[in-house]
Amino acid sequence: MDWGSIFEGAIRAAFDLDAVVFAIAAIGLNIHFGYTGLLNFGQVGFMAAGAYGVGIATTYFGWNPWVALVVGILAAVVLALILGLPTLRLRADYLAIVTIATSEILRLSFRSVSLREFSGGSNGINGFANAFYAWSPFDPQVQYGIRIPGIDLSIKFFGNRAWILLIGWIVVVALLIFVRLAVSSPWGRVLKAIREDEDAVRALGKNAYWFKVQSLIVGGVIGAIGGMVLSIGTQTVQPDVYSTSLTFFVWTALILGGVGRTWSPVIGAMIFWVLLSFTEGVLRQGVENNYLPDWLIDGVQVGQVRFIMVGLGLCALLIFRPQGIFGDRNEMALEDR
Amino acid sequence: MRRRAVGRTVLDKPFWSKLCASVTFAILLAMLLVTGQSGAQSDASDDPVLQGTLSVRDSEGEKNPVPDVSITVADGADSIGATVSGEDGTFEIPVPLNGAEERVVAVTLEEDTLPNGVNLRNPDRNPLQITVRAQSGGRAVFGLDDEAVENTYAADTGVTMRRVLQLSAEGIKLGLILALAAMGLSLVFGTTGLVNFAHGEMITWGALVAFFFNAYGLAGIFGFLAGGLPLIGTGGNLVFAAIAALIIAFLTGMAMDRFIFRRLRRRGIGLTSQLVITIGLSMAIRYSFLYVFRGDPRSFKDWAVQKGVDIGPITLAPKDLWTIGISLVVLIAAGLMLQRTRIGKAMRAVADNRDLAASSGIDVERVIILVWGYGAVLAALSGILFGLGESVRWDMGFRLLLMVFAGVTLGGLGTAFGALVGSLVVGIFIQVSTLFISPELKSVGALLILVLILVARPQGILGQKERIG
Amino acid sequence: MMSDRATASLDGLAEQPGVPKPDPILTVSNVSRSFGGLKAVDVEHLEIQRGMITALIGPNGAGKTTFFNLMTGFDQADTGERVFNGERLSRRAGSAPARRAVASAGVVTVALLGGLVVGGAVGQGNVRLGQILGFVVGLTLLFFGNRMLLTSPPGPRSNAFLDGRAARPLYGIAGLATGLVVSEIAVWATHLDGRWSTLLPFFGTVSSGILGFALGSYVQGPYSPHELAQHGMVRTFQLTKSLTKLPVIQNMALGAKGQVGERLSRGLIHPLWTDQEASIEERADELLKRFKLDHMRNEFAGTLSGGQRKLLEMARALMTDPTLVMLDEPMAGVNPALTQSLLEHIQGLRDDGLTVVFVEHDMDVVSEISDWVVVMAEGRIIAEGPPVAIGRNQQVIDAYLGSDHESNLVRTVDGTGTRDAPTREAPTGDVTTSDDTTGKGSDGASNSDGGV
Repeated sequence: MDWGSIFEGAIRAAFDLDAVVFAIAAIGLNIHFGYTGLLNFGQVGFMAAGAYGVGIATTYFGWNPWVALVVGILAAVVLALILGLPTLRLRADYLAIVTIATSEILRLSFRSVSLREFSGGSNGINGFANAFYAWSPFDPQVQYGIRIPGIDLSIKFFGNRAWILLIGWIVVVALLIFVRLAVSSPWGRVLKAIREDEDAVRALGKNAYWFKVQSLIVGGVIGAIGGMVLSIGTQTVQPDVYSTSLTFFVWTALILGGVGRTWSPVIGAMIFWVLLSFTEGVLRQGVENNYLPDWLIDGVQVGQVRFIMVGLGLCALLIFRPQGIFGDRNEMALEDR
Repeated sequence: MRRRAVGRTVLDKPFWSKLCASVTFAILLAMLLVTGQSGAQSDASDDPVLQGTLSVRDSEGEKNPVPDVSITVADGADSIGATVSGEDGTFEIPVPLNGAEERVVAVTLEEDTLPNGVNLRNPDRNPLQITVRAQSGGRAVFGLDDEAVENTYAADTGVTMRRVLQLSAEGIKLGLILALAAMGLSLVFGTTGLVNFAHGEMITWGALVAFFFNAYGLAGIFGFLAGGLPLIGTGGNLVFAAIAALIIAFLTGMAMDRFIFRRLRRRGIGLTSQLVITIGLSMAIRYSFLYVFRGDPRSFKDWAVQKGVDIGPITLAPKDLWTIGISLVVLIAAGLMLQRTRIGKAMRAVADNRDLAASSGIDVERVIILVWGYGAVLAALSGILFGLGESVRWDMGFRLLLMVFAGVTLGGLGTAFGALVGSLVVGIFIQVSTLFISPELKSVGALLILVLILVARPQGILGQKERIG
Repeated sequence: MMSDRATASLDGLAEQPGVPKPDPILTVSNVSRSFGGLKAVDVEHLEIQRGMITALIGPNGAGKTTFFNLMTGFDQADTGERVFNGERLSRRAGSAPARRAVASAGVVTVALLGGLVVGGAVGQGNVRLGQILGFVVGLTLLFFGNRMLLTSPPGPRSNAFLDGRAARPLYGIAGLATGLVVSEIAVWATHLDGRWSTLLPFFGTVSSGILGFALGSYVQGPYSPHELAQHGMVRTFQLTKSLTKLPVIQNMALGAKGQVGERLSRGLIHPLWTDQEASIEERADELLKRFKLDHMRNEFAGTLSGGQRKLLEMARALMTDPTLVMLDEPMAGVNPALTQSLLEHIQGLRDDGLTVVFVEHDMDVVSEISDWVVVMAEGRIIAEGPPVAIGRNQQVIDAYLGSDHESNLVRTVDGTGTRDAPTREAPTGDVTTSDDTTGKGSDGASNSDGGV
């Protein structure tokens, strides 16, 4: 087995597009769940809103890319209002149910034949990100690398990928600064108080409902930015990428890093992809080199193991380490609620 | 007294170890059979394979394979091979590389051999230029569209009385199936406060178990795992298969409570965490189904195709009538059980006020484990009935669950009767809405009505005001 | 122990339910609430006197806590009126902003629909141009209409349109009209054609109509607890709600009103609110010192003891600058050693000029600090009066004995020194669940027989 390439793949995954997208989506989810205690089970719906907002605005309407970005963000705001206004007055389960259902229904709508002229059906929308890559300072044919000091290993990306990764990680840092500033303000204090006990907040004269709506919008917009980065990075918007499983991958990454702390979504996303890439690398090589018997696992099934693993991992985390890998149990936000 | 107690423990131990031993033995046996099977396979050539699958989406958005289509592969003037897509729409052609790392070939789909009405989505992309590599082979993807599906909405859009009645009848059937699952979900929610997102997998589990008993007789799932070798008999009647599946579902439901959720409650893990845990479970179980049972849709052996019966203006297959009848009877029985029997009253008492129920001598944990069991039975039954009408798939439960959620929320979380009414409304709405919107968007309509009702009446149609948090 | 100043103003009042007080801060009337056909609360009239400590007592299941929740807006009454500090605060419909909003909705609707007709004629069949014209006309009308309405004084019972009772349908229609016009403009601006040029306006109109309907429901709806709190009515909870994962000082700072940094746009720019935060913390520190919690300032609230949490909740409530403090069973779950200091704090509130209402079981506590007692049974107010008089009330005694309840009530009536020793043994302080559970046992019952 080629352990070198497995390790390289795993470390590469910590910086690659998936990790960036997950980090951004998890930062949004952290605002929802980590700071406000909202059960958003449809983060992928916000990601899809952002991605399709950009895709439809550029291809169908042929708008300027900057306008398209605004459209993507507005789409997320509208989605947050539709989801939040009716449900945030009710007990938390309602938001969970409505968000998971809406995200799946968005996917079905986007891939439907009747909306094909806008969203391209099951093929999705392609080739709308040219303007973005036209700004790239990197040569698409050249590989650009990061050298990790100490280890004899360098991770290289082709020019276009390097460009989106650079922008993506800059966005991550900007969002982290935003979150840091927001949650350390009185606004963030109200959110944290709502997470602890909504009634106490209302008794003190704060409109808890409105703060929850704001939180849903802010986190949803951040999720939409994640969707935009994903769609620009892959230069395509495919409906089936935005399945409900993706939401729970993001959840797992968030809980892995530790809920309710600024940095945790980023660390969680990186660790998540290292683990996933490592196990998949091992399994894939095991299958290809016939170390693993055919009746037990074949090439198609390797892809399915990911979902089983993440599902079980999510359960195990919540039962045995709800504070995440590095978290402190006393300070964790996820508690008996 | 003391001797008896000792006697019991002694007696219990061998029983359990025997059971474990026999289960392990059965699994080992099954594995042996599987390995025996796969050991026989071997590849004739070492050439990389160019492969692909031809499929076309039907009006539900499901992929259906397109068989018997000719495919040829050539490299310039040099013909490499030809084949015909199989029953599952797949085709494979080995491409000799003659020592090179990779080779670019032209793959042509013979359009004349496509079935009537099925066309290439993009005729310009035929032939396709595909690079075949030594390690990974190659993949040819042809996009196909079905004219009939494209025209579905145009052909049958008239709003006639007959169609409204027909769709309403189908909606009632769907609604009743949803209600079965919804009732289980509501019972568990009522007694434990937990919204169980893994409930959909209980639906699938029931249908899958019934399918395997139906197809492989008593061997059931082991029959499937053993590669289709019928151990005993060649399959069982669906009725017996269903009954066996319901019993297994009952045990599985209780096991889920006993081995997972009771422990979580004991550990003091909060409801929110439990909720996310059910999500994780749901995903793990769902993809385990896919892993073990593969992704293809399956139909029950019995009554797969039936001729419709005209009832007044509408046409229903006998199995649809049976489905409606059985779900009605079961729902009424479940309702009566809640109203009349001791265990039913205990369930309602626990749902009303757990502490009060506990202090008045009700064994709350026993009630909860039974609720999980009954909930699983109802879910399994809804899965079997749904599979009877359509097909059994690894993710059918999850798809149904979203509609079940719509029904339960519509009726008001935690009220059994509300779940029934809400599910009926959702079922009828989903079916009748296909009069106006394309069938693939019908679940969008269900969500829309859900949001509308939440705006106007947050507690659901039948929910009580004080249930709002 | 009773404040002479306070009682003096209530001297000579008739001791009957619903008696008018000289200076009421809170008046509720015709409050009813039923759960599934069972009437939990049915109160005809109650006035709370300003600057006094009023106790709300009653046997188990009398509806005290429900009534308390109704008064503070945490539960919505089926019927009822609430006047607080001279303002009618029962439904938003009556308030000035609501009247303004409803009037706007009405004007928008009339303007849009009228504009459609007018514009259709002026635009000579060009419907879209007509709609846009109509929209412009509507906005102009709205602007002047609003100014006119705002300057005219509100009548006591003006018509339904201005009163806000018609908000739901009005807003619904206004939403429909706005949605239609806006989505038509959108179609026109984006050059959509085919099926979607009809579908988009349809969805736009419907969703905007729903939004209007929801907005109308809000305007028509009852006041939320947070609005009441902003008006100066603050409450605490029977089961303490300290925010355990926030430090004590943050708990306190949360209570402060009018914080600039609570708006996200301002909160992000820290210099905009740090000054205010400093003055808030200064005030919080003063209150913490007064409640002897200053040594816990930077600890997580979760580390406080039960009694300290009660104190923290009370101090936090004071951060909102209330005029009326409503305490739901302030003594529940507090260890007896702390009870006395808690009582002193409550009296301190009154001495600062605040009004206090509290729910309590322990008649000792009630008679020790309250100026006025309101007794509930079976959802109604059966008696009210000064604590000494209330115990003599035959109805009250019947209500308590009927539910096999308190004996110390009767002992207090006797007035003689028997108060302290026997009742302190009764574990009233340990009650942490909902209402007081069963009676204090047969000992109490026999005692009361002797007393009467």
